[in-house]
Amino acid sequence: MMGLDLSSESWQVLFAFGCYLVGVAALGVISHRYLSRGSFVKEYFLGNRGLGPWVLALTVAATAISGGTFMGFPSLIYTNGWVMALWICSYMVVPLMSMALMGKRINQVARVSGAVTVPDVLRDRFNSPLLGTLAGLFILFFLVFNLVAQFKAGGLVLKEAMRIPPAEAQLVSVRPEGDAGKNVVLYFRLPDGRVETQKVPTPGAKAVFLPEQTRDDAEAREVVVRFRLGDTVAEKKVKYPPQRVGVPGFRAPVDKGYLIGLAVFALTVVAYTTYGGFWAVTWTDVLEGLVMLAGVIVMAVLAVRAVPPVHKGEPGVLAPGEPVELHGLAAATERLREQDERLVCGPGPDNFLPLGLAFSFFLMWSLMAAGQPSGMVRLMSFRDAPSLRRALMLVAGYFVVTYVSLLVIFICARAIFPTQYLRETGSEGEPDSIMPAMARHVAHPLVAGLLLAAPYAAIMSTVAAFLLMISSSLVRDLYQRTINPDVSPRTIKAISYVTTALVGAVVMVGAINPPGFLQYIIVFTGTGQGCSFLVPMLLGLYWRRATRAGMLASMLGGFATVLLLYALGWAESACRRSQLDGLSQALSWVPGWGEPRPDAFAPLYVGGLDPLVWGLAASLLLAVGVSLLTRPDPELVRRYFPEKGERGAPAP
Amino acid sequence: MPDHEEPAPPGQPPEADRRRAAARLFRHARREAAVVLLVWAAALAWTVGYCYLRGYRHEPDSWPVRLGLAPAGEPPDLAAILGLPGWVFWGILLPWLVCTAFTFAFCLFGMTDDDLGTEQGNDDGA
Repeated sequence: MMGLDLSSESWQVLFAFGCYLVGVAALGVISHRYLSRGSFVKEYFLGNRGLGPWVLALTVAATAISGGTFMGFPSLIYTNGWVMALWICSYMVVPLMSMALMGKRINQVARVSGAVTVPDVLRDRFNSPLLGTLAGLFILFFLVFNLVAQFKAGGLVLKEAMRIPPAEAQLVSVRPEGDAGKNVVLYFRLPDGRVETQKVPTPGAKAVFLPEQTRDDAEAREVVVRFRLGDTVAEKKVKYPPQRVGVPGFRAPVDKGYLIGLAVFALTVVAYTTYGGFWAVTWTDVLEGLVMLAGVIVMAVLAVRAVPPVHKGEPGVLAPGEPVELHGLAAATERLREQDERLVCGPGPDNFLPLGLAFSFFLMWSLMAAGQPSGMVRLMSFRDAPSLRRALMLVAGYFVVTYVSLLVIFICARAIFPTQYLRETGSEGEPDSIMPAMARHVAHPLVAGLLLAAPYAAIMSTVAAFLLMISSSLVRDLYQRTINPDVSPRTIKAISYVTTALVGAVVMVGAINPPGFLQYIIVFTGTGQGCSFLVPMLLGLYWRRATRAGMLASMLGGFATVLLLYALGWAESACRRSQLDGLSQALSWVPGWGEPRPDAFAPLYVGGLDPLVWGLAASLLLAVGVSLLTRPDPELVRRYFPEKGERGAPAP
Repeated sequence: MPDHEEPAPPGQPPEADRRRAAARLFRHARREAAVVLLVWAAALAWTVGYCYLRGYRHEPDSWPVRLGLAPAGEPPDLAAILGLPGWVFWGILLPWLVCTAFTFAFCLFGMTDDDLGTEQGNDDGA
């Protein structure tokens, strides 16, 4: 990091980060030794079905918790308050749904067929190369998009840890944007003569920009923009543009801090995943899972202690009876109520979580967790049934501690920073910065470095798991089982290493200049996978009458429904943006068309429900309907559904 | 698969025993899956139902008010318990703890330690 103009605090944060990365790299090297045991493919992609309870528990937990858990979720708690407890609460049943629902059975079926990947299981259970290939292609499609989003989050966390100072620039002018005045635009002249702009959202429709009170602080490299809001003046501090560097092949220069963060993140995670395979991913998951757990517990304690007490002279709603002094979480809740009563009750500010979406989100987290191929492959890899039972208990305990701690931390954050990180009226940053801001506010820089390692660990574990899934889809499902079944073990080993590294490199290049609607991409890919895989896998494992045609229809139907609802959402936004009133009128019969949506990339919420509900319904209906119209292969039924009284297996 | 019973490979149980064990696992796994789905449905009904009725604002003409399930206006359950609004305590924290306790009990007393079977089929050579 030579040549970086960083504060001593940032160096301390980076030192703590560095210690963590050294630990991750060491685990990757140790894991590589395991790859010489037995079958390379089973060892590299599946750990040779040798996961014990602790490794299984922490790899399941670390894979389920992603960058969004530590970046997007905190910002939503900060913005919307206690209603987020309802938004996330289906994690109370996620351990049961993601492990006990299919765990033993999928492990058994995978052993019967020798399956290494999720498409392997589907292909062998229904003796259908088409089903296996389709499953492999779907995994590729969803995970590559998801990885770009996760890589970006990884780069952003390290950028926040470094906090490279903004570029040396000169403020040229500050003007409202257009007639609507939703944004104020700041124009800067950079040392190389280029002009760069920064947009600042106005704090509400009635806010009036005050140009005469806007102040340029060149020494601090920030501009204080002021607005009149009724009788009060709101202000927002806007940093000068970030330092940027040119990247070959990219027209626009890229944020220097983000680029360094992305490069360090990508090199670490791609290197240990490629070199150590499944064992590296799971062992680093253990380290990452422990770092996350320790991080949230320490931060929750520090956050509760950091909330200023509330002295209630008058009996309040939250403290009926005599006057009291409130501390900790009670003080935080009371402060939220004083800021805005909607922060302590449903549906939250701006009708954030109406009943339909509360219902949808309960289904989404619990069913999506059960339907993710990255979770299923872990269920194929545990050693024995006692390992599953013990791991399930650990995951249940892990989730309740992690999610309750996160809720507590960021409810306290809203009490400590009442408006600073709100998107509309903030003065320092945006809500996504609340996690790093809290870490730096409540802890010493060295501890803050370790706390910041928690979201980094969450992103890393998800990326490593997905990287290996993509690699296994390409190597195992598409090449070895579809194109060249006679490939030699030596060649498959070389292809596995090269593919994993290559996929990582390609995704990193994609993340240098990623699209802006990443949160929706993550939700879209998760929903798509859940709707494509959950029903075919569940029925394939438990229903004798499930047929090849039924599962193909189910997988395609779930995928198509989700894609259609997202595509209609984008089309509706495009019609609105381009003022294509004729087309919009022609499609007005579509349920959900024209109804308010939170973002231009958001899907249509038909009947107020998320696309996941409709995708799963379509997948289930098609699976059952088409299976009942066709016949299952009796030989496959006999192989995968043994009966204790059947011929060749007499009852005792 | 052959119809007759094959001799067991050295060191492994005979085919009949393996198939009996596999059938047993299937029955147990199916029963456990049914229990999981019941718990999931109960958690969904309680959390979303309770939180909507006790933690949301309702207009006077909304269906929960018309049916007498919730009062109009201010949510009825805002009094703090352990620092949490009441509806979060009763509607989310408590069921979460109950679900976690159930998961522990289910793992200790409900789930069976079935034999997962022996590894078969293809690997490096597909």
